[in-house]
Amino acid sequence: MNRRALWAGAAEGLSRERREAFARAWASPGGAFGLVRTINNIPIARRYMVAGFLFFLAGGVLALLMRLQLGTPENTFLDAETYDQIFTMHGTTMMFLFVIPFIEAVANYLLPLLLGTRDMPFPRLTALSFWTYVFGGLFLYASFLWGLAPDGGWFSYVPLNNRQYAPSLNMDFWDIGLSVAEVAAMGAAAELIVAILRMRAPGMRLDRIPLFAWAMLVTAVMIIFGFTPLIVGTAMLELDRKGLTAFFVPEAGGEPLLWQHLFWVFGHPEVYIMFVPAVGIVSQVVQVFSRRPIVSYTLMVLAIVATGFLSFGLWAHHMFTTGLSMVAMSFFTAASLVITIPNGIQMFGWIATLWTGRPVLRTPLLFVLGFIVIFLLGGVSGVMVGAVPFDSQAHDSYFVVAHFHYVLIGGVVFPLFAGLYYWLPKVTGRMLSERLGRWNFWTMFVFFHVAFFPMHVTGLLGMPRRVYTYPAGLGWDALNLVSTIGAFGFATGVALFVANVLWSLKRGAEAGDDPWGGDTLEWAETSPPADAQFEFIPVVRGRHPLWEQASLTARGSDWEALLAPLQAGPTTWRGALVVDVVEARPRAVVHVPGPTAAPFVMAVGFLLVFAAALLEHALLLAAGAVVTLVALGRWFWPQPSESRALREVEQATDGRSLPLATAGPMANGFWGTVVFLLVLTTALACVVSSYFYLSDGPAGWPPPGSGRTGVALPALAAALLVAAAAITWWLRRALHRAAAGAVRLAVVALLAAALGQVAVSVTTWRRWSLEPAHDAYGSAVLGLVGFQWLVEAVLATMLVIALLWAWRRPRDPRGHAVAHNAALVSYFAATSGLVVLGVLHLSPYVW
Amino acid sequence: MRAEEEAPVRGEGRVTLAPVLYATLGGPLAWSLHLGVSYVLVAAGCSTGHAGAGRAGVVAATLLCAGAALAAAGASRRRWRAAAPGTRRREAMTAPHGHGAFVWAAGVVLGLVFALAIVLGGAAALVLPLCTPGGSA
Repeated sequence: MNRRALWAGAAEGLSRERREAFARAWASPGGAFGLVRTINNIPIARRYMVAGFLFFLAGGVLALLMRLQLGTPENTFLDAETYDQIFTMHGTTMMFLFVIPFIEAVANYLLPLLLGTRDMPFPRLTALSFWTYVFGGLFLYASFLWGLAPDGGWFSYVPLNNRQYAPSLNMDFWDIGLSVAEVAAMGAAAELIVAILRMRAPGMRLDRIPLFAWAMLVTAVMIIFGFTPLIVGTAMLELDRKGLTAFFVPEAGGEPLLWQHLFWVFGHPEVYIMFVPAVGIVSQVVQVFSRRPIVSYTLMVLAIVATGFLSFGLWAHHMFTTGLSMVAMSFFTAASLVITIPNGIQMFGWIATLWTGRPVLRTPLLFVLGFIVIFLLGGVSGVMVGAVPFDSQAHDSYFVVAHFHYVLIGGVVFPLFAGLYYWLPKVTGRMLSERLGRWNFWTMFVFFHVAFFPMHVTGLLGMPRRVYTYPAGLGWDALNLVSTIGAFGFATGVALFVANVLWSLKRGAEAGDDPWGGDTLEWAETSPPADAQFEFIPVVRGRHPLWEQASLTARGSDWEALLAPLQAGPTTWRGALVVDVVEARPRAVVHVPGPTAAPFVMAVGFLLVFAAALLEHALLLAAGAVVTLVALGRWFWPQPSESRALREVEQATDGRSLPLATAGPMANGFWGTVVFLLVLTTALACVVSSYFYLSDGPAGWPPPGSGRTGVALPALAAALLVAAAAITWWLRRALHRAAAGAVRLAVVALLAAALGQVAVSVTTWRRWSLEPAHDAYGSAVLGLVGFQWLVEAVLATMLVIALLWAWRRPRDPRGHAVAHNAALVSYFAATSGLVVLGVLHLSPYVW
Repeated sequence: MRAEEEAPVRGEGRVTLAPVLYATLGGPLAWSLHLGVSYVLVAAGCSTGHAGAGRAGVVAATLLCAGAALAAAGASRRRWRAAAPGTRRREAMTAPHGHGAFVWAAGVVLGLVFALAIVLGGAAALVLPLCTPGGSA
């Protein structure tokens, strides 16, 4: 469909000045300083993708070094220590620095275009995620400079990686560097959820959302629930390694298997966190290149949702050889087998679409076909290792290495390359070479099998994984050499892709707006897209708007008048539309923040804090905290454009316009807070579960001589928590009534209750005289109370900001928004506080 | 600007978020609950020497959770029939269709699939020894 035809008449009645002013409002700042102030999704996501791909190349080089070492028996190219560092960093890079960030970057770039909106809901968070990710990645790789690269595996099993057995800083780099990358991933995930649920084109109901967006919604939710246990686990591990706790130290009553649970509750969904976006990409590519809608959209969506849930019921199948009971293992075997149902539905859906369509065999589709073949093989070996008897034999052998590379390269890398060939023309405005693309595909496809298929056999012949060399004559020599040749051939394929991109940037043909005849909204924008996307708000009337609609404009729709102010507007601030979740009816306009260096400065602060944690350097920690706080202050400082938005709202009184969402369920900040509470709830579940898991030790629980706290202090803490909940209720009432004085008073009272609660908790802890460094019980208690301190600290920070607003501008809705969100966190803090008190002081009597 | 509470859409009613969440998440959440509760019941039953009680608990949890998933599927089915009268099941899965029917059809399928997953998981407690470690059988 011709772009001009799609938008015909949209600009009628709009002056050139207005349209230019609109473009200026969304323009990214230029110059060197502009580099760190840019927050628009397009430039940030582009940098994100480039950084992610560079990490992919770095991880690939590490893989080649490993294959060189393993190419011949008893090779001395790498010593054992260096090999350990390289295999740890290869896994860590591919999992944490390439796949997830790269997918999130692609989503950050594409989702506003696919959904028909102007930017992501929290562009500053996008920028913060990007800078944090880059700094975290560089932090991890900087470890090579000191010869201290992580060497305990990307899974960091304990007790091997406990302080006692790994005293140097290698795994501290892993722990802390990973935390930085995790924060980035979580931030991006929160953003994706709110964008997909709230910022769609009018008319894009739930049953019209593109499958890639559905896939990213499920992925983002999975990241929230999956990464949180990892953050909790790595925090515990780092505390153990600093000698402050003993969660995983068996000599002190700690439990190494607790780490495995926390790690794999993240680790298995992680596989699907990587795979589900691939499902979205493949679905988009298949339907466009089959020239027909995907077969059974509804079932495809259901399969994505079901996969997301079921992926959380598989983690223990990584622990089949750890001595779990047979019945417990059978729960996970059942889930491992049931998940083949949605996977099967997806496979048959794609095949049926190709079968009944008119496939056009261009490079993106070639990569999809390669994916189907490879992933099918990986899925079959997955069913094999999902069965306890087979897994007991193949566990920790090269069979497993073959299986997960079939799943991850077949199931993730091939679809990503399909997506790159499909969407890069949109990103760069130029086509890639079809001939080079075909060479690229066939080289990668053939040499992938050459590299990884023999590993099934070496595994079945008994070759264990994670070994740096092996003796000759065990039947593994030739197979390993073939794998090494395959790995270099595969790398050649990747090099062809890089060459293709570079060629395309210089000599590629102009892509035009819609080179493939696509069905979704991104093809209605220019290639590459402008900073000011969707100058005119598109109205969606079907699942495939570019195939089904002659026009995307609001003309003739029920919302024409309502959307009129948003056509090439607002012009003095960045405004975007929010819609209701289910039906995508226009509900409000939100102010989107403009350029600021606050995210960059905050990421620098994070880096300093994490470096201080690594080096145990108090001055560096103080510097990091100051930098972070300065950035936080700048972040919440009112932007002039916000005031302009508010003034415009006050001036318009026609009674038929959309409101400006500043606070409450209509505002994006409210939804962001809800996502944050999901993170906190998951973290609370993790620390509570850890407490009970550790309680199963032989020493009794609480162990003899652990001391008691008495009744008075816990009772006082409980009373303060109940009081805080009551004050929160009062605060919300005051906010609804817009009673400025009452709001101010309620915020002060709530702050006092929060600080009082922390004071009581700290006093209780001190009187308890536990020794968390030497005792798992003390560690578990510290985990619970530490979590509560953290929640109260977050709440206190929000309340201080709300108080400043309430003091300076008592009637300003922006201040009310902070207070609204703080009220949500306050309810959570009261609930989690009572849960923690119950676990600590009541559970010993009932468990 | 003033808020216009409801922008009317001709010929369509309104679907609110709460029933949608119940329909689509009822089955999956029941399964998640079943997995967590069953795992804890097995661990508690074996560590305290009350394997029989643990087994009975798993069976009860299975029945309750499977019931909850089926209830979500049933509720979805009722709403689906109301939202798209005359739509045949096959059409609901394949054709773009009216307002709301998509989520209700989704609720039916998710409820059934997760009820099956619950039953498959819980059935193990009936046929396997509860406290035998995996490697020692």
